[in-house]
Amino acid sequence: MKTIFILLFAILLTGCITPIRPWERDLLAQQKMQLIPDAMESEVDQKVFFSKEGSSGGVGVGGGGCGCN
Amino acid sequence: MKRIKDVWVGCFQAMASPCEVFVDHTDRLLAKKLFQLAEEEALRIEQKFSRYRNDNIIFKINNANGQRIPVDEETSNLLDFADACYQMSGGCFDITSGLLRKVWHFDGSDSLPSPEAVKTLLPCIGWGKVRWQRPNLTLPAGMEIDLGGIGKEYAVDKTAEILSQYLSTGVLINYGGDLFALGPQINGIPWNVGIDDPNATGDQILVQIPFSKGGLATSGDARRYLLKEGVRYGHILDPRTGWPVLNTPRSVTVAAKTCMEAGMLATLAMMQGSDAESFLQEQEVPFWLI
Amino acid sequence: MQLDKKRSIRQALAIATCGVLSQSPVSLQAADISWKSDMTTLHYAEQGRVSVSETIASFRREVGEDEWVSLKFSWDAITGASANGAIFNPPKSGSTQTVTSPSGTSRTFQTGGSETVDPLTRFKDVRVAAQVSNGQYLTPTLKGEAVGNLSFENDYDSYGAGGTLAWDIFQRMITLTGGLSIDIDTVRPINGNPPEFASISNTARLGQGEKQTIQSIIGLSQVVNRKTLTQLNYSRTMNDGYLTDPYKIVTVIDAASGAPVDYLYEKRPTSRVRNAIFWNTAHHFTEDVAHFSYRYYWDDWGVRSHTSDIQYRLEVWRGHSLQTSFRYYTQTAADFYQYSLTQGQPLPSFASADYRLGHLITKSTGIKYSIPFSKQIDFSLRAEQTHQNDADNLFPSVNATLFQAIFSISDRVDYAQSSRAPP
Repeated sequence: MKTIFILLFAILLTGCITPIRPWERDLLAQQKMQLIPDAMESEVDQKVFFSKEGSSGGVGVGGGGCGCN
Repeated sequence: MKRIKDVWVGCFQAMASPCEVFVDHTDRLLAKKLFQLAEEEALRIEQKFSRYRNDNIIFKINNANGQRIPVDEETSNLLDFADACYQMSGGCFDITSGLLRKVWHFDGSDSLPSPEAVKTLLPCIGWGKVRWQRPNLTLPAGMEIDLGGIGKEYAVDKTAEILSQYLSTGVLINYGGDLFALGPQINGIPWNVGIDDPNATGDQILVQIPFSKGGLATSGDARRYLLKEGVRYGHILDPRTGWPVLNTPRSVTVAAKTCMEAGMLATLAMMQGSDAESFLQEQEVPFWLI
Repeated sequence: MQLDKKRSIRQALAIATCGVLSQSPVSLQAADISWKSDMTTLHYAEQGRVSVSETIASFRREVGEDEWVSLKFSWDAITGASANGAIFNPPKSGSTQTVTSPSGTSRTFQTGGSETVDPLTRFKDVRVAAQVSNGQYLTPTLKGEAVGNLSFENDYDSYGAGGTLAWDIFQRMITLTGGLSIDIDTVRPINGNPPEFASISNTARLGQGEKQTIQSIIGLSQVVNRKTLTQLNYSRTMNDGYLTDPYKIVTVIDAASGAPVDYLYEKRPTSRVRNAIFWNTAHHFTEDVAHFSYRYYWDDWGVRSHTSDIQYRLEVWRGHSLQTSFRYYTQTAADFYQYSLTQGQPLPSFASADYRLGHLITKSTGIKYSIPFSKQIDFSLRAEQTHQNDADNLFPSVNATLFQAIFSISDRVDYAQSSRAPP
């Protein structure tokens, strides 16, 4: 498991890093292209799922606890 | 980004020229931000209007093969400007004259093109043959446009627009010799701009201009010319004949309210050949002739 | 070469350049301090079970250069009932049901099978929470943010703080992130926590339980190309303290008949170490955008899960968009997960019949419609349907529906939103 993880990290790092020019960041700058495009949607979903399932986390840290699990 | 004598200087490469932005301010982060904005804007304009790319509106227009191409507002504005310059210069300034580069190679040698070669190109040159009805541009097949004559000055002015939202003085933009100053240095002292000696290899400064505000542009044929039988053929071509304008000054520098105006006045002055000086005197603008 | 109207060329030029360059650049003075506000309200309902209404409002404002503060409030109300792990008699033996509740109302219980315990615990709970954060650019490529939060409800309190750092390298092609947070929670049902493994007929109550959570995360996100962004995270969470759920019950059944003979409060270990690897990718199709993520989770309670999530946002018309999403989740049971205990057998160290620690499969599908009311205002309506079933088919499945409305308003215009890709 750990080897797969290290491998994935290595692949990402050594992958093509030809920098893209500032004007090419137009699409990436859009809100809908962010890794978490809608913070309210994501927060609510995460809360629903961690309350109803045995797993939690992966996305970020903090946010506090609640008595739902 | 460097600090030279209390001024932050940012350098980058764009539009095939060395570009510099000078910011006279104590805030390093602000200077850094302004350099980033300037670089982004210069590269944006280069990407959008460069003749050498195949992913922009210019490529689309030049490969339309007679089809009508709708263009966006920014391109429309530039085409309107080019159209106005064509009218007011009686056809001397023409963005469709780029085709002439196919036969004219200004490498300092004596190889002039044959008159027939030039004549074959003339039917494909002439803004008057283009149908421009904002926002639609229709170029007859075989014709092409080249915004290289106004691109750099436009980039300078647009960058100045953006940077003026942050500072109202103490900023100087220099893209390959085309300048704009948003006001003198902080202590009120003007910027010191030198004009290159056109006959030297680029290290000699002939004239020092104290420059406070507005645009400054230089047009010259010092580096690109052909010399045959004692006659010097500069690279400023008359689009109506396809041949260089003769007896032009080596270098013309003009100051105006914006870089685009300065650049266009300098170019038009060169077009006058031996009448450049009187032309500029009539326009009542500060100028330097070499 | 005569130029027409020589003297007016300068004027004509001045007029011509007016058309290209705007005369008065947009003044940023007024909009120097930018702010953004998001609000959402939702209603979540499980068929025949729990129902939750929640409202969250957040507000973020720039203070000074490269620094910002944000504030978030949420309040929610939960009513209804959720399965507590008790098994009730099969219908044919006939039974009456009694209700258990966190307020500790007495319930009757008799062994012998003529009365049963309600397999559902009813709740009525209100929660209020607040979060404050302050972030700033420590250097042009290093962003730091500190967060503090608190939450209060009838039977649970939480206090926490944390921080994250994001570092852009390789000309902002790669961002390294790291984060750490600590939360201290108090579990305090009315009258106190029941003793673990005590029978539910035992009315003794202990004090409150404390639980401490430390979360850490490291991640790397990379711009793959102009249209693709990807991220890989590893996170580790350590829970210590009172991790048992005071409302959950394990049934003790008779070895021969399988009928319930006793009900015990569950018992879970006092520590839990969780790990997750999360991979997230966003891809732009010039108009539409797709997001895909996968998470592999494992912890020292024996729970392992796979979560896959895909979302596709279709641009419909003039900025309106329709997003469909699908999520698939599977989990293996915790080591101490027991559907029931058998009478006569020695008690294991830990046991829980909480179906959420069991062998689960959850499938959700969602749909969201977004409308931009202007360049600064955005509104979305969302519905999500979740179906959760026990892979061992012991517990009944749960169907839930979520309805959510989201409203965003910002002071700064998101120019990227309305920019067109070059042809």
